[in-house]
Amino acid sequence: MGLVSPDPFPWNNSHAPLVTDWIQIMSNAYRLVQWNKHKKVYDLTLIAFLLVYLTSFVGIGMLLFPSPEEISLPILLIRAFGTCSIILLHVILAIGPLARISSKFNPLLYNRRHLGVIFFFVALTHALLVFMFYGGFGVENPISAVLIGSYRSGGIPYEYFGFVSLLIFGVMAATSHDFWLKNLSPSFWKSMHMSVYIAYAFVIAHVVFGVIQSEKNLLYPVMISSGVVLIASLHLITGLREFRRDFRFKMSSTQSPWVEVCTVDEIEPNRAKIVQIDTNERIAIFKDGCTLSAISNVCAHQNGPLGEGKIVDGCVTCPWHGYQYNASNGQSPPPFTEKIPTYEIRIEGNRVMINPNANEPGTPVKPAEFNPIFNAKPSEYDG
Amino acid sequence: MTVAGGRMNYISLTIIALAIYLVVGFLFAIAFIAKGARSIDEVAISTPLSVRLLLIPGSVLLWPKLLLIWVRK
Amino acid sequence: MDNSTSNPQNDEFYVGYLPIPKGYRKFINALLVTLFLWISAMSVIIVTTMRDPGYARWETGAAQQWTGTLVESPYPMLIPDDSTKPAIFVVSMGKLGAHERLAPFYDKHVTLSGYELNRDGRLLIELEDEESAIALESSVPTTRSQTPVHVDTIRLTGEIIDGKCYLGAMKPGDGVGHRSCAVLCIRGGLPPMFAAETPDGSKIYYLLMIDGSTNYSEESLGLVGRRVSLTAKHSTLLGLPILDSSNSQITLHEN
Repeated sequence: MGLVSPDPFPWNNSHAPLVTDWIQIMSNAYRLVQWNKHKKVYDLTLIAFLLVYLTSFVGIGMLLFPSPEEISLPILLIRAFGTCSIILLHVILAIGPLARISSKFNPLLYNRRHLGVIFFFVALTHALLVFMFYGGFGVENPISAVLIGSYRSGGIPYEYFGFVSLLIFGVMAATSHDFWLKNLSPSFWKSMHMSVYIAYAFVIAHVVFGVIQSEKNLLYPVMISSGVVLIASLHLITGLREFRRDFRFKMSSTQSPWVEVCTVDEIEPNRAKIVQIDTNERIAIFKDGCTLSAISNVCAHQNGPLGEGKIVDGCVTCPWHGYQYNASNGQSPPPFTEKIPTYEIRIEGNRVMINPNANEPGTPVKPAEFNPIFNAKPSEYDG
Repeated sequence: MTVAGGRMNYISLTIIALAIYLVVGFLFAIAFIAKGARSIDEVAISTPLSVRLLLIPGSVLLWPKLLLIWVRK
Repeated sequence: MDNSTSNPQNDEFYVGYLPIPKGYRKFINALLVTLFLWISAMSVIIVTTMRDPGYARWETGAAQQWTGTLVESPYPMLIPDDSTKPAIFVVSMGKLGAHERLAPFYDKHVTLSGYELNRDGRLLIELEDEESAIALESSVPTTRSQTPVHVDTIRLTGEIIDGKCYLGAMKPGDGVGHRSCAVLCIRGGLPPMFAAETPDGSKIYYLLMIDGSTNYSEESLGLVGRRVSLTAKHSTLLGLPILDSSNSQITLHEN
């Protein structure tokens, strides 16, 4: 069983980082940078896109409004960075549900943290420019000038919505290193994930009570509301799809804990079927050769959906970041130390039975063997 | 900073409190990357200083939580 | 045979640290082209639909000189010797008025050195920071009349803006986005002005005093940068239209 090296491009590790990479590939050591070819291409493409957006925005703005009717350059920059960060935020929020709809989007998901950190710096630049030019050069420090000035001027203090969302995104960016993933509690992460949507709502309020009030063009309310509709419907669609896709089973009412969940031929080779028994955590049942194993559907790294992964070189491989586990014991192959819960499984005839009581993470469980002649669909072995 | 009006006073107080929180957080962060990070996480022991510097922003923002984890260890 | 998902060609699986499978590569390339077109379109659409901040100049480069008489009230202004020219506001660099620097020179004949800001012929001088920016010519003022000519009481709708940003230092220098800056400017002693709406869409700029002063109270600052209607005494002084209103005569519009 060959172990896929998590980083086949170690020659890049000595390279001085341009953009810091907070990713540590599985927990054998923390690294400053864990570049690989994909991430390099990802980051370079992202930066190229940002430059195209910002330069075309500022360039066209300067050509379109020539002096003396020009828009002041700082204001043009504030708008370029502000609108850019809103577009980035929508891309970030769309990637998650899109990847659930089609695994084809997974390459965008793989390096989403970089996207998040870069988004934060774009939004921060917008805020710093606002503090510098709207808050600076006056009788007060720039921060008070904008924040207190906002209240002083009455009306809805839309600056606060932006400020609070920036704080939330700041905490997210600052804690995007895997050290935090490991050392902060699951409840912290749960509230962090929720607060992204609170921050998103604040960003929308910031736009609705801010720029839309002075730019009377109807296009802006149309644009921002289509953004909201897009994000909301993507989340709704994935939620519904997952709800429909889930195979839910009731706990056994008899003394026996075993629950029949599917038949052997329902599972594709090297792939898994995801089942949920009552309201317990989802279980992924993997087919590896002539054996079936049941493990938790939740990756220990970032809660990726393991059951949407595949067996690669004998290991269950997470579709999000490629974390790997032995299906028979829920452990990452050495030197890695990740562990996930396993489940007792057995096959009766063609029927797959699961004991929904999870074992401690990393507990070895004997895979259930089946006879391919009797259990497989014709298509699997017709060659 | 002279501010009239109660509502505005609350805002300036909040800004001052935020600034104090961040200054304390920065002092904490220095201690944390020097010692704390290693004592709460064995993986961080073998981690070079350059990587632990990346933990500064997070330590500045989340210092009360980290202090609690550190004290408990 | 019957089930396409068991076809090895469709069983591609993407792992970030392994070479990207063909099907994924195709899809991602198409997606990137779409994204590229989308962000380019967004950039062009947003920037071309922004409102025009209008004609306003902030002269930079070499400093200019003006000669005339300084007056303190209703706002520090220079009355140019050329009687065809209207009074010009005088301020400092940054978001600061020039009241203290000008104090020894009121009602005296001076030459000022600075930069001109100009919107639709309404002028403002930004003094250079050097002490030599104000040169005393003579202690005798020129004789142009300095008494405001009372015209009438009028009702107008528009926005309270700060004279410096709006006359060219920041464009656009009005609207919700500029609100906190306008408050900071007026607190710093820049001239509070009223940009009144007219039926044809153009604007008329007044110096706006509230309760006889351009030094606004906290309550008055709450009206800055917002759409308001006001009733005010209207007068003109040396070509400068002036409004004098009070907080009770100013009402906020929605938003």
